[in-house]
Amino acid sequence: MNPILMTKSLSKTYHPNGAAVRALREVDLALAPGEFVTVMGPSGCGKSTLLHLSGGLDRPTSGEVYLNGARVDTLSEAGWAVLRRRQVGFVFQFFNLIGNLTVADNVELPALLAGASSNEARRRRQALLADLSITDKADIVPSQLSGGEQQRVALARALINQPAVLLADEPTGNLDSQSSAEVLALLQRMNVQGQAILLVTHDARVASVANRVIYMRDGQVKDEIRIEKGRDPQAVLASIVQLEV
Amino acid sequence: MNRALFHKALADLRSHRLQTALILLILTAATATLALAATIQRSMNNPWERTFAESNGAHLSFFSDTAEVDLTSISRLEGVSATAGPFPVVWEHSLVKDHEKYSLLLYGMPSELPAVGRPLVTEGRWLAAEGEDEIVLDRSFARHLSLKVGDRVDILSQQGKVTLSVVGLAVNSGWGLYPNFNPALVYVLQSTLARLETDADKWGSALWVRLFDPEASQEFQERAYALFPEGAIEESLDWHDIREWTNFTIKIMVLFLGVFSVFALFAVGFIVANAIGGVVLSQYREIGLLKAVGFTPGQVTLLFLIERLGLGLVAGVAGLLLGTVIAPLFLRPTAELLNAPAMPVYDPALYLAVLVGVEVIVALFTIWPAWRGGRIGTVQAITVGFARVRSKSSRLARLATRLRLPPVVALGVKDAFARPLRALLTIAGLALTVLTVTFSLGMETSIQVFSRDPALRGIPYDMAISRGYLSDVEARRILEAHSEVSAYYSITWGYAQVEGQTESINTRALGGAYDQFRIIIPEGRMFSAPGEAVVGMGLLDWLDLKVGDELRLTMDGKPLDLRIVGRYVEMNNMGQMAMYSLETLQQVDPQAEPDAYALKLTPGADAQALEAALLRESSDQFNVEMVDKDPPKEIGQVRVVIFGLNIVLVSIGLISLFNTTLLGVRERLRDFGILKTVGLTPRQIVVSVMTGMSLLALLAVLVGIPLGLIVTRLLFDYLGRQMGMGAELGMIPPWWWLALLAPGALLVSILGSVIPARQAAQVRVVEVLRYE
Repeated sequence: MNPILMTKSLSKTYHPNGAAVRALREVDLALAPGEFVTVMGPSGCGKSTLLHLSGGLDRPTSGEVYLNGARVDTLSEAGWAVLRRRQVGFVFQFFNLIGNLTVADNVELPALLAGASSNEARRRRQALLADLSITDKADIVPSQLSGGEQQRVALARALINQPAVLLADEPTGNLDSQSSAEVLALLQRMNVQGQAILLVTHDARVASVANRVIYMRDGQVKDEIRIEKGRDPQAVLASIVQLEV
Repeated sequence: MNRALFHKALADLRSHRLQTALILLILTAATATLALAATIQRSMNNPWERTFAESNGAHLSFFSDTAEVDLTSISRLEGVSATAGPFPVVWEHSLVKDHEKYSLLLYGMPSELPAVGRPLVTEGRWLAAEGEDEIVLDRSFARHLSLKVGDRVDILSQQGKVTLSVVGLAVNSGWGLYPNFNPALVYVLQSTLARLETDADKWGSALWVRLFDPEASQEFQERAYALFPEGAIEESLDWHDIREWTNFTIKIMVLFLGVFSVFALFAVGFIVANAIGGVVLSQYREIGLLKAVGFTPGQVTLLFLIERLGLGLVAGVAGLLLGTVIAPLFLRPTAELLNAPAMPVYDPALYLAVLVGVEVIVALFTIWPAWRGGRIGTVQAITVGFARVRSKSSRLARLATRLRLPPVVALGVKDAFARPLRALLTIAGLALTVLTVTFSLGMETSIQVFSRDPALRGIPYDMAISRGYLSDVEARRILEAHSEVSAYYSITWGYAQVEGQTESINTRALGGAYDQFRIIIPEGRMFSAPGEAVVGMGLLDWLDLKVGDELRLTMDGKPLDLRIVGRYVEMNNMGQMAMYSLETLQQVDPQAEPDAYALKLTPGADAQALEAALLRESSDQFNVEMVDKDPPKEIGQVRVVIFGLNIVLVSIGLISLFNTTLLGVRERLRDFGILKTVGLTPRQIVVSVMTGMSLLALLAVLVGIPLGLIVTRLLFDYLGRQMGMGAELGMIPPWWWLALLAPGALLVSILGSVIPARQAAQVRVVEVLRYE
C-alpha cells in the first residue's frame, strides 16, 4: 500500500545565534493508511521538527515530503494552508484553541475554511462533540474547560475535515494521568476507525499505544519497533524502554 | 525608589520606540494646533495695538454730516486727553480705476500731521503745503487696488473727474482695513477738498479724540451725544470695534483652530489610553515581576503616568515651539496692511496654560489603564504570564456568527471586538477624524452654495448700478432701453439714528419691482405696506428686538416709526441694517430719490457687454457692480487652515488604527499561528485583520458624520450670529460627498493596518507555538 505520508532524506538546520544546529538529519519516514506511529526520543532529538515539517508548519532545509503520493514540500505557505484544511489535522501539547471563540466556533472553523456550509459544519461538529462526550460544552469558551476537555476540543477541530493524517505533538504532555488515558483511548479509537496518526512523545507509556514506535536521537532515526495487536502491554512497554538505553 | 521608577520609565519608552515616536508625533501636532490657536488669539491684537500706540491713536472718532455742527465742544468734555480736528470730510466721492468706482471718505487735512490719530506714512510722504494735486491713500486700500506712490488717480465729483497724484500711503488706526471697512480712507489738503467739492453744504466734519481712560469710551460717547441735538452727530467709531474688525478673519481661524485642536487632543488621548492598555497587557508578566521586587500598586500606576506625562511634556514643548513659529504666518497679512511686525506675544502664562492643558488630557486618558496596571495580581501575572482574553464572546461577535459571514470575515469582526474598550476608544478617535472631515465638507459646501447663489447672501440681483451724478430719470431711461434688463428695483440709501443708541445704522429703501426678486426672508415676511420694515439679524441681536416689534428711527431729525415684520439676510454692517419701501422713506423725506438700481438680467445676457454699454451711455457716471460668484479672497486662508486641521486629524486617525491593529496583532500572535495550522493562508490573515479594522472605521464614519454635521451647524450658527448675517451658513454637504467618507475611511483603515496585518500573516507557526 502506498504510504499516506512519506519523507525522503528530510533535513532541517537552524541557525540560532549564528551557529548551525542540525535538528533533523536525512530522515526517511513512511506512514501507511490507517497506521498509528509514535516518534519517541529525548528533548531536542528533532521529533517535533519532524512533525512540523510533515505538516508544513516549517520548511525543510533539504529533503522531500509526500502526502497521498504528491510532493508537498515545494508548496507555498498559502498552498500548505489550503492543503492542511483537508489533509492534515494538528493537536498540540497546549491545546492551542482560540481563546475568544466558543468551542463550537473553534471546531467548525476548519470546516468552514474548507468550504463546508454552516449547516454541514454544524452537523459535523455536533457529531464529533457527541463522539467525544463534550456536547454540553459547545457554547462556552476554552478557558472555562479542563485540560482534558480542551484537548478533546482540539481533537475535534483536528478531525472535523476527516484529514488524511493526524499529527499530534505531545498531546498528553499537559494533562493529568486520567485525562491522558482518556485522550489516548480516543486516539486509539480514531485509529481503529481508520485514521492515520503520527504522534510525538517522550513518554514510553504514550508511545506504546501505537502500531509502530520510532526512536530518534540527535536528529536521526536510531531504531524502530512494530507492535503486534494483542501483545502484552507490559512487554511492549519494556521493549520501548529498551530503545532509550 | 524614585530613581528606579525613572529608569524603568525611560527603559519602557525605549523598548516601544515606534509607538513612542508616533504618539510623540501626533501629540506634538495636536499641541502645536492648540498652541497656534492660543498664540494667535493672544497676539492678533498686537500689530494693531502697535500701530495704535505709534500713531497716538484716537479712541473715538466723531462724524457729523454738516460743517455747521461744531464738534470742538466735545474736546472740552472731562476725560479727554487730546483731540485732533475737526477736519472737513466728504463722503460722496469715489475713485475710478478701470471703470470701477470705489467709495471714498475724503479727509481735508493740514500739511502737518496731527498729534492724535496721526496717519503713519509707510511709503512716500505726507501732503506738501502746496500739494494741491496730491493725495495720500490708506495703505490697505492702495494694496487692494494695487496702487503705488507716483500713480495718478481719478476722483469723480459732480464737477467731473479730477486727477491727483499719489504721494504717499498711510496707516490709520482709527479706521478699519479696506475692504472690510468701506468707504476707503484718503487724505487731501483742505484746499484740494474745496476744489473736489465746491458745495460747502456737503462737507461734514470729523473729530478724533484720545481719552485718559480708553475703557470709558462707551460712557464718553453718551456724554458727547448729549451735547448736541439728536441726529447732529452722524456716527462715532470706538477703537474696540475697529480692533475687532481688523482681526475678523483671524478670529474665525482662531475659532476653528481652537475647537479642532481640542478634538485632536482628545483623539490623541484615545490613542494614549489604548497604547497604555496594550502595554499593560503585553507587560503583564513584567508588572508582576516589578511588584514582586517591591513596587507598590501605586508606584506601578505612577510609572505609567510618569512615562506618558513625560511624553506629554516633550510633545507639549515641541508643539509650543512649532505653534509659535507658525503663528506669524497667520498674523502677517493683517500686520502687513498695518505695516506692523507680525510678532507673536511671548507669554509664559499662556505657554504654561497650554502645557497644563495637554498634560491634563494625557493624564485623563492614562489614569484608568495605569491604575488597572497597578492592580494586576502578582502571582497570576508571574505564573500565567499573560492576561486572559475576555471569556464571553461579544454581542457583535455573536451577530457576526448569526449573519453567516464568510469565516475569514467573521474572524476579523470578532477580533476587532476582542477587547471592547479598545475597539470603543479606536472608534471614538476615528469618529473625531470623520467629524473634522465632515465639517470641512460642510464648510466647502457652504462656500460653494453661497458663492453660486448670491440670493442666499442677501444679494437677489445680478448687477447693481449706482447712478453717480445722473438724475434718476436719466438713469432709468438708460436702464429701460436695454432689453437684457428684465426687471429692476431702486435702492435709496439712508442713514438713521436708533432711539437711545449712539451708533447709527444704514437703511435701504426699495422702490419698483423688488417683488420680482428673490429676497430671502428666513423669519417673518417681506414688508408690504408703508411703515413696515425687514431688518438684519445683527440689528435684532444688538437692540434685543424680535420680529413683530416696533422700531423708532430718526432721519434728518424726523422720527420714522417702523414695525419689524421680518428678518432678511444682510452681509453688510454686521447685519445692523433695516430695509423698507421707498414709500415708507418718503413719509420723512418726500424728495427721497434712488441712489442705485438692482438689475435682474434675462437668461444668457452678456453682462460684460451690458456693463460696457451702460458705462458708455452714462458717460462713465454709472458705477456698475457685478455680483461676485467667486468665494471671497479671505476664504482662501480659512480653507488652508481647515485643510491643515484635516491633515492633522487624518494622521491621528491613521496612527490610531495602526496602534490598535499593532496591539491586537502583538497580543494574538499565537492565535494567528493556530489559525495557520488549521488552514488560514497568509492572505486570509491579512484580510481578516483588515476586515476587523475596516469595521471599526465604518462604525466611526456612522458616528462621526452626524457629529460633524452638528458641529458644522453650531460653529456656523455662531459665526452667522457674530457677523449678524442671519443666514443659515452651515450647509449639509451633498450626500455623495458624505458617502465618499466610507471608502475614504476604508482606505485609511487599510493603510493604518497593513503593516501590522502583514506582521500577523508572517507569523512563524513553529516559533509562536513552541513556547507557552
